[in-house]
Amino acid sequence: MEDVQIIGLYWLRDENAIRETDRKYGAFCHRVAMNILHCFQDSEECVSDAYGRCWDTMPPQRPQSLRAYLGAIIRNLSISRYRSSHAQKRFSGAEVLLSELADCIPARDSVQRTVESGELSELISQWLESLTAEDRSLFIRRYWNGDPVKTLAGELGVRPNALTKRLLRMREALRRHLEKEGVSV
Amino acid sequence: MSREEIFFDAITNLREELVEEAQEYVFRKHSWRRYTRLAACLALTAILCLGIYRSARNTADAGNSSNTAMPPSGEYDGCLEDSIPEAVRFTASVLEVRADSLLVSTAEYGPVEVPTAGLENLPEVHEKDRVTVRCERISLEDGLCRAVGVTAVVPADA
Repeated sequence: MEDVQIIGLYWLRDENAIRETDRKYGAFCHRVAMNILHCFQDSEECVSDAYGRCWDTMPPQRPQSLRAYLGAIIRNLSISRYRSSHAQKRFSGAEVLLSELADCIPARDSVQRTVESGELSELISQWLESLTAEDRSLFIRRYWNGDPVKTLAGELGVRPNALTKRLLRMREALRRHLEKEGVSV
Repeated sequence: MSREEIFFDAITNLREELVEEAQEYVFRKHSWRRYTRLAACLALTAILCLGIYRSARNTADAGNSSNTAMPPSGEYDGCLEDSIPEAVRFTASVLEVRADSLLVSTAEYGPVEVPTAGLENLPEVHEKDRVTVRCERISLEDGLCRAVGVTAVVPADA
C-alpha cells in the first residue's frame, strides 16, 4: 500500500492504518530503535508507542514521507528512553552515536552564535546537499538510522576501518562547515 | 540536554526528502576485492599454463635430442630465441655467400646467418647449394637468426 493510502487511513480513523504501517515499515522501525537502544524489549515498546504517536498526530499532520516521519518519532522516543536508562546507568547503543556526533560540534569560542535544534537541522541539511549521493546516504544511514559501521561497510564492500575513517572525515567536514557558518549548539 | 543530544535531535529533524533518498539509495559495491581475486585467478591460470607448456616442450626436446640432435620441425616459429634449442644441426639452402659468413634459408628458422670465419675444412659452396650446418645454438639478433659456435658446414649430400 502506498504511503498516501496509509496516511488516508489514519485520517479516516481506520485502525487498519496501524496494521498497514507495521506491515510496510515495521522492520525499519525496529531496526532504527534497536540501533539506538540495543535492547529488543525497549525497541518493541518504542515501536508500539510510535504507532500510537502516529495515530494521535494524523490528523492534523500529513507527512510527505511516512517512513521519515515514523523514523523521526522512533528516534525521539528512543533517545528519550536512552536518557532515562542512561540516568539509571544502563548501557545503550546511542552512547556510541552521541560520542561520534561530538566530533561535529564546533568549539564555542570559534563561533559567533548558538543555534537551536531546528536551525541546526537546516544547516546540516544544507551541508548534506553539498555531498555526493553516496556520502549523503552514508551519513544519514549512520547517524539518522544508526546503522552499525559493520553493516554499512558490508553494503559498500569496504573494510569497517576504512569506513570509520571516511565517516570521521565527514564529521570533521561538517564541523568545519558549521564553524564557517559561525554557529554552535 | 547535552550538546551531543541537541545534535542528535537536529539530525532527527533533517529534511524528509534527504532521509527518504538515503533509505532508497543502493550502495554500489567497491569491487576492488572482486577484481583482485579475478586478477589472482588469471595470474594463477597463466602460471599453470606456462608450466604445462614448458614441461611439454622440455619433454619433446629431450626426446628429439636423444635421437637426432635436430630440432623438431614445425614446433618452433624461428623467431623466439627461447624456443631454439642448443647444439643443433640443420640442413639449409645457401641464399648468399659472403666474405665471412653464409646466409642460408632453413625450413625451421627462416633465414639464418652462418659465420664461417675461422672454420676449418669449409667446402666451396655456391648459392642454392644445400648444406648441413652444425652449431652450438641459434640466437636471434636484430630480427635475424644467427648460428653461434658453428663447428661444421658440409654439403648436404656428404
